[in-house]
Amino acid sequence: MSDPEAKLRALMALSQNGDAKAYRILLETLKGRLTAYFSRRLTSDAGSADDLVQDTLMAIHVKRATYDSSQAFTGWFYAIARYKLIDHYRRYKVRRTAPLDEAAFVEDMADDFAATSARMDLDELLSRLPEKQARAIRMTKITGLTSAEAAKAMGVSESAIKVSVHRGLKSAAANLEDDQGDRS
Amino acid sequence: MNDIIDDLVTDLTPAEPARVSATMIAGLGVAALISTLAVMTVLGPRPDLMLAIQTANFWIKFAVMALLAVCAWPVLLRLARPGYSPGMGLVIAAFVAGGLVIAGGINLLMAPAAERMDVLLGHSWSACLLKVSLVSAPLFVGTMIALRRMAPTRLRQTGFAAGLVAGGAGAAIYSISCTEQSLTFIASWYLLAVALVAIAGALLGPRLLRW
Repeated sequence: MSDPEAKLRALMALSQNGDAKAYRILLETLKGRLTAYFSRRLTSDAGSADDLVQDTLMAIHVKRATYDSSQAFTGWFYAIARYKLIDHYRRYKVRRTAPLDEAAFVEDMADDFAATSARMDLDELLSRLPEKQARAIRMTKITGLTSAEAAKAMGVSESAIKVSVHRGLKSAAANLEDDQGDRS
Repeated sequence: MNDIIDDLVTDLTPAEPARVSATMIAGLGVAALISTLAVMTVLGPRPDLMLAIQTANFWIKFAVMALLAVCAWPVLLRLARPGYSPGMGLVIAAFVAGGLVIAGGINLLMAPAAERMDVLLGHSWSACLLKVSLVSAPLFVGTMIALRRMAPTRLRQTGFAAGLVAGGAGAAIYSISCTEQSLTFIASWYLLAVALVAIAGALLGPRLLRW
């Protein structure tokens, strides 16, 4: 009787005959297994795991006549547990995606894409400036530091930063105009 | 949490193992009776039935359609309970369907070019699709009712197998009324009708069989 399958099978046979004591032992054992099974698969959702344990015990009770003593008990049992898990996923997915507005989702994607491509353009533009000017523009215009903070970070005077930013933006604008001239 | 076990233990009564094939046969059998009666009264048997039953094509049509149902039947019995694999029935059914398509294709190529459209379309291809589906519907319902008393865990596959049983049996029953004789017609329109019923089963299975 050390083989768990043989033990469960014997308990199930007794339960099918209406032996309440065997049935209680069987259900306690199965409850332990189900708790392990569901909590391992729903690690971030302990509430659902508990519900599923109860659901599955109930299902086993209601459908106990569909177990055939010639088949593996654990096969029957885990098929039901797996079914309840998949059923849970299916319902959960429906609940989660139902309120999702597809248009809003597509818009978000488009915004993300625009922001990313703008950032790529900007990087390209700045890469053509002298290192000092590019860094000054990044710090003050993108990161959002004040001129004083940027000056401190770069170890130069505040007016040097302002000059760098001014010159940098001017030549970046000129470059941009050249690019557009080339294209048209 | 423990009280659910208390409740279940209190509720325990001896449980006779479910008699799967008896239940399923009852569900399908009652429905088959209804479908056959409907074909005989509403659609009517083909006028030349007595002559037709002496031809091979009549029986080929009936047998191949019934064979599709027979292939899917053991799959259905296995899937009705938790813990069984579907088995090979659907694969065998696919080979039967493939063989039928090849035979229908050869028949089409061997026909004189001028007659090929007639051989393929017959005179009732659209009616065939509709009527096979209608005759299969009671069979599908009967099978589903029987399945709901079981505990299928692969609902899509179970629905597909149920659709194949209902479609194959429905097509076989409908052949009493249908005057089409060409093998090509059976390989195309009959097969398509059965496939549609099976696909409908796969789509409806997860909704109808949930427990």
